[in-house]
Amino acid sequence: MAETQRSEQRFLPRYRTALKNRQQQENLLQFQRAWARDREAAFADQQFGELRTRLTAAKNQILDDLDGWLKRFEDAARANGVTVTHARSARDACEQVLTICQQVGARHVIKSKSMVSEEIELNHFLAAHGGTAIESDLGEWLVQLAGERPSHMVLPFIHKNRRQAADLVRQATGSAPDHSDVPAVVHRARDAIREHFWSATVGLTGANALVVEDGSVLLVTNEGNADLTVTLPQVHIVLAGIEKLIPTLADAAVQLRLLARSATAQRLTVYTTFIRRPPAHHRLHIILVDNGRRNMLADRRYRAALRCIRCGACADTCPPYQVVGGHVFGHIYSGAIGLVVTPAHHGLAADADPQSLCVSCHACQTVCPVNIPLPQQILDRRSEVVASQGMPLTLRAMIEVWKRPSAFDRAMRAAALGSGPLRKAGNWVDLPAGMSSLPMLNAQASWRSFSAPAAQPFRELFLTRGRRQSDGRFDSALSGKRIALFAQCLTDRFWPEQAAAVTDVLRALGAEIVFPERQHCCGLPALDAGDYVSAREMACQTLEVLEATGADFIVSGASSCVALLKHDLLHLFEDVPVWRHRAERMGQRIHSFTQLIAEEAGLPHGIWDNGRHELVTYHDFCQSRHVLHELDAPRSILTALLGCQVVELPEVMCCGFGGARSGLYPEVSRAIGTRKWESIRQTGALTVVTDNPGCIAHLRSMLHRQRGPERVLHLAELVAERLV
Amino acid sequence: MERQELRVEFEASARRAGMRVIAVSRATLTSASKQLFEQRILGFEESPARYLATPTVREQYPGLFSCLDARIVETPSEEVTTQAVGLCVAMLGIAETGSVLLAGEQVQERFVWLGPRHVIVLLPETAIVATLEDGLYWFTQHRETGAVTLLTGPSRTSDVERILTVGVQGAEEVDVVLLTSEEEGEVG
Ligand code: SF4
Ligand code: SF4
Repeated sequence: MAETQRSEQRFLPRYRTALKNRQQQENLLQFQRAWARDREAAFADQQFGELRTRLTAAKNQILDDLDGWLKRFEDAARANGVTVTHARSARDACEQVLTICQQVGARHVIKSKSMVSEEIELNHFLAAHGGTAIESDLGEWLVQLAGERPSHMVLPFIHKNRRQAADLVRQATGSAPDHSDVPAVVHRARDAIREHFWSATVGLTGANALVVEDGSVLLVTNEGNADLTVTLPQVHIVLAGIEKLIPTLADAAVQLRLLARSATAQRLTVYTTFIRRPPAHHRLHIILVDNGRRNMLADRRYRAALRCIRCGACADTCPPYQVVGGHVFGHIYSGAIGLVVTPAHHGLAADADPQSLCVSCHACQTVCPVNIPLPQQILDRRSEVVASQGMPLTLRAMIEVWKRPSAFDRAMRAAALGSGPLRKAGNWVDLPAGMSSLPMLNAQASWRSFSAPAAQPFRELFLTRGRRQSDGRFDSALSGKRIALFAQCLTDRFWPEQAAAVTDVLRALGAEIVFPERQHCCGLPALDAGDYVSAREMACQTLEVLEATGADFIVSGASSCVALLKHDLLHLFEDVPVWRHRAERMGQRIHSFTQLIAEEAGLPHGIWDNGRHELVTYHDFCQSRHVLHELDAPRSILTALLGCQVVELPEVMCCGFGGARSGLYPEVSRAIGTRKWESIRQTGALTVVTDNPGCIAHLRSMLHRQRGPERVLHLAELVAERLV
Repeated sequence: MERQELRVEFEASARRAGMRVIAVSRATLTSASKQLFEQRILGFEESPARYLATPTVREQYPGLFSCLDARIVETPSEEVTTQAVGLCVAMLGIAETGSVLLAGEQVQERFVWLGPRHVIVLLPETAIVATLEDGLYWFTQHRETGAVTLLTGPSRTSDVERILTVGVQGAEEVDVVLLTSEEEGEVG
């Protein structure tokens, strides 16, 4: 516990400092926007999916027999005259580097960017032993002068500005051009770094890949500093993780295509160098570092993370990363992959806080060139943190109530009653002015309103409306079908009108709707909190209730629950074959409202077109896009069935809700929500449509502070409007 | 792919990567004078202080090597590179990326395309291949080669506020002189 407190003390000040770093936020915002656009253009000439399947297969081949491939690589490298050694731990690797330096009498090491050297904290180690390591990558050199760590794997200095760069150059060289002339500052830095290339006896690099076929080391840079590092000093040390192997040069070509496009949206990095042998009379020494990698290899949950090629894309697309930067969103490795690998290299405590920032939007997995299931792995790390340290008390209390249907029912009814006096139209509650002057409440409440539970939950509304027969006003393939509705616990209590809209639409299509009364919660809040035990318990209850309906279809207007029932449960029940099988079967039966209407209802073009061509924009709920891959379905409903004009959002991203994250980190939630609203406003649409209640609640909670858009609707609500 | 198609794709890719591509017939280059090379082919306004060349230039283009009074650098140093122009021969050009594949066993050779601010790469049109795999296949076939660099443009960084700066650690300018077998069309 003492360790946890210490780590929190380190984390929270870092978090608060990052929130104040507007420069970082602005740099990252501009970068993320440009990166998304440029990356898409860079992949226009290449099939991302096909390339990633090939590279993933090549990396898996290595992981399936790592020792065999290591042996082959070592044999090939030694045949080239290269010295290859193994380091089990960070300390072991540092000592090996020191020994090599001592053997050649070198005190200074010139380095090209190497994440492994950051991981093992080599610079500190050498400094403690009377040596110095000088970074030669421009950004790394500046970060080193600032006494900091890189905040991004590809753009280490992204958290700082040009003025700070010029100051650092001045401090190092005695003079610097005016900060407004960035190229001049950069060139001054270059001249300073050049001197070190000439004076160093030892050059140290990482490796972008180690090619088993011929024992070569792949190095890529845009600056050319790695090439200078390996050419001028007489000794070249490569520090590489054991997972860096790749079978052939042809596989390396695939990696290069993906790496350059994913990292910097280039077709190829400027200097792409394969080294089999050092230049004549020089020495090459490769240190293969384990430092926790074999443990990851042995752990089925995290093994796929060893496929990582360190492109940084998972950070470049990550919404919370943009808000807090890499010094908070990660430890030494940052971004999604940082949240996954940190415990392997630096212990679970180092990850305890950073991992809790992930909003599970799944954007990272979509862009990962080796398809690492990062969001799932981050949740697995969260579950480890919870198992070893527990979870925040408020969250614990919430889950304990949530997982018990009767306690949840009582709590919701009490909240409905208690919020009465504060309640405004649409069941919104604002904190009284006096209360929001408290900083903690201010962070939570100054920028949004809160939903209050409805006076009557949907389960009661359904009973009163349940007697209504399906009216079958519209001919459809759903006519006569029995459809079980999974309302979602929150929709049931807070937003019953959304479940009512789903029901009304399906009834209008001639379906018979059943509402399994014992339904409660699919387990998503517990899963999101990292409490897998409670999540399983809740999921089992839901599966039992839904299985018993015997309906033709099971449908939910809550796509988050659909994603959980279709996908997350397979992982949650990985070691419980009976339940996994039941989850698989449920996955085939459950549909989102959107998918059911688009794919199963067989509706004619223009069926609900009112002729007004309403201008709308569509927000893809993250998991509808990245997990369920329901991209066309909502758009075809909006355009083909309703006759709407859909203006696409300029930025594809999360709304900032992220379940409990929006309560744990309200500043991050607010920043992402604000970015989302900026994007919505740019479309000029007055109506925002989506199909997940969490996003709707979050967007609506900020709506009345926005200029422009007037309403946020569930897709079912928009359709229901057209029924009358 | 036909040679002509490869050449067109290579030129487009190389230019996109920020390199200048100048097509000139092999015959013209072989008989070129310093003045012709510098002014008509490369469009230099002033002669550089010196040329640093790889031994391959001397072996394959002795006329050019001697008319430029190029030097093979014995000991690389900052002084010899400050005003020098690097001159080397590419083993291959890669149409997909516009890269030139450079190989050299000695520090002195590799330094020619790493050190100077301006690098000129001679590339026979017949040495253009289609893809990265084709380029790396050459490396698998040449086991005796210690290292290859696919150079794809001038050195660059966007580390400070994402502002692109060219010529950071390596070359600021990279010119590819594409040697064609055509008789006419001295300067492309
Ligand atoms: S799931 Fe979303 S929030 Fe989490 S690491 Fe990936 S991109 Fe970031
Ligand atoms: S996890 Fe994937 S996206 Fe992230 S750095 Fe590694 S390869 Fe790139």
